[in-house]
Amino acid sequence: MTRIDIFSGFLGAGKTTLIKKLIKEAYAGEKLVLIENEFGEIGIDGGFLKEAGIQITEMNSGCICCSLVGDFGAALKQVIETYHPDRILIEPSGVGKLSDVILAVQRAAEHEAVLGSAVAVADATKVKLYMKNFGEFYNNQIETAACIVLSRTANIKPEKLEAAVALIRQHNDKATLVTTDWDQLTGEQLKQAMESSATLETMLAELEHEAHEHHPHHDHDEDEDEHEHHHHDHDEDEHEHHHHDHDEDEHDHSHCDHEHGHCEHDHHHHHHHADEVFTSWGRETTRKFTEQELRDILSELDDALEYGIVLRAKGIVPAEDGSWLHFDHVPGEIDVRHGSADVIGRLCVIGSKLDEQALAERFGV
Amino acid sequence: MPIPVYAFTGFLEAGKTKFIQETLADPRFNAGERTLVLVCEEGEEEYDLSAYPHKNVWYETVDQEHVTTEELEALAKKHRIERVVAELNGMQMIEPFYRRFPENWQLAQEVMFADATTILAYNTNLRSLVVDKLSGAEMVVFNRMEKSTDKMPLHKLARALNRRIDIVYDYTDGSTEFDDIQDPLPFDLNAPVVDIGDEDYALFYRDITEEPKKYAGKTVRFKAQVARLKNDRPGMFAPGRFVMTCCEADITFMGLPCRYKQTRDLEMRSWIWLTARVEVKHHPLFQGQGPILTALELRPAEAPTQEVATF
Repeated sequence: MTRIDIFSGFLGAGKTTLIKKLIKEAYAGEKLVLIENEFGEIGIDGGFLKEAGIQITEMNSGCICCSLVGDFGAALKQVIETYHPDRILIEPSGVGKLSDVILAVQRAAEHEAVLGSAVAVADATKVKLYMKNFGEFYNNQIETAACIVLSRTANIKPEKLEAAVALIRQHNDKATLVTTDWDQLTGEQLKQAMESSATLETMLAELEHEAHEHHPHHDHDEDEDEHEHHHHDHDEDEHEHHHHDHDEDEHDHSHCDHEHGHCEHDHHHHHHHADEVFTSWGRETTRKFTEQELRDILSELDDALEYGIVLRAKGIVPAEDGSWLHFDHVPGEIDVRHGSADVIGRLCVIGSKLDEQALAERFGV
Repeated sequence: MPIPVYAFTGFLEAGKTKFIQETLADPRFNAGERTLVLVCEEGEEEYDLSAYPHKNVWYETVDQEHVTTEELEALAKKHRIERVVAELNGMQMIEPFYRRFPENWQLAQEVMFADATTILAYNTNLRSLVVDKLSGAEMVVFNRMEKSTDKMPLHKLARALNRRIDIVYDYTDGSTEFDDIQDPLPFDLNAPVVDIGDEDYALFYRDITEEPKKYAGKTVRFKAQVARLKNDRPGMFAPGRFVMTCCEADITFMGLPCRYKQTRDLEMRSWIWLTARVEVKHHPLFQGQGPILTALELRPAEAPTQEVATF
């Protein structure tokens, strides 16, 4: 089965650069076909493609009035039948609507292929400018994409990046968002983001799973053990119980059943249960932290009065010095270390009676 | 009283706002006329009214695609304006906007701004929008030029779409240069028989229809397809070719009226070598005077390798 990935985005957004990186780092060994309907400043030169064993098909309708119609379906079918590739990469015209391309792909590839990732590449420095002046096609790309990859984030002002993210989230709060400078990411990480297999939801789900399955390993010898331990057991019982018996009655819960992936995607991941004993809070962020700042925040999380009872906190965030910080926190135990970059900063907190607003304020997100 | 409109076109970040701002801040160009600046595109640059010598400028943001004549009239009335400066949206077509101008608005000048570092990529990918802007402008300013930038691709881009356009290069070091590159015709007008190459038909057609007098009395030879003009008398036909200006959607047949006795023998759409003499006469096709051919010799020909002619 051929997988078809679409890379939309306006001229100069960096589609070609992204595709090149993916070909080099993430699609090695796959049989690829690249269909281009746009001719950028940095063309993918033939030599590079030959070396990588890639077929390239150009569609010579480079302007707005000959948009993607008719022949595209036939051309796509032919490509599939001729080459039987593992993957087809489509770079449509920068002023095309992504939803049109997706429809065309779906129509053309009924049996022989599946739609993989629908990506929008957007220059982070121009999101506001383009949204204001371009109208439909630009917003359509942002709204339709399952993954939005921001480019030119290496030297952007933090406020500007934050504003761009906020604008994008107004139009699409579901898509996986990549805000990290591509140079810091591997092609594999970008591929995972595009395939939406590494999102805030999956991170929260994993963390909750851990909290369910394993007894926290911190609650043995400390002084307030008795209380804490009891509390934890209680939590888990409540939750399990709830899971098995009340799922169907509890509307709120069924909406948010992370194990089935139907999250509300509002990035304030609520998991309200009947008595609110077990909550998780998650945020995506482009904010940069220092190691000390992070340690200070995490040690404050032990203060149950202010933030609720925090059972676990985990995340990956960019650091002021350009590196990335990974943290893992259980009450009384703080682990902050330098690690590899992620596509965007992510904060996850699991606990009971969490004060989400206080958490957001403390993390400054 | 007619209201002159000064239109500034080009893509986002081409320097339109900066130019308008500087012009209105310059007393030589702003003597106090009540001016409405119609903003159809909100770029990164912002207008600064405090820099103007007079308090005579009003800004209104409009949606170029949807603004109505009545709305434009109302804006003119509201500010009792004497002239309009319009900053157009790069991603929209110009003509439909002009058609919605109130009756007393008259286009005084249209200037395009183009970033020399991106305009060629825009031309490859957004050709129809580039054609739209270049073909109507009196002047194009290619800015962000470096001394090492090759002028020829920019010159050719502008000149191929607009014979009369003034071309200005604006360098990053602050200097400005007017384009004085000569474009010799690719055929010799002084030859006894002016031979038009297959690849030069579009250029020849445009030149002879724009400046027919240059060709009066000359003999030309070119390859063409046989066509007929609407309502034409017997003894007349229209040799010509399909010409593409922008893309497949705008391919049109461009032919010239030609006298030929045996028009009955001609097979429509067949290819011919035509040698003909040019006269300048009145013909409905030109809504006035234009080049009329008289066939001197006509023989069958092979189709050219590229059937559709381009500039």
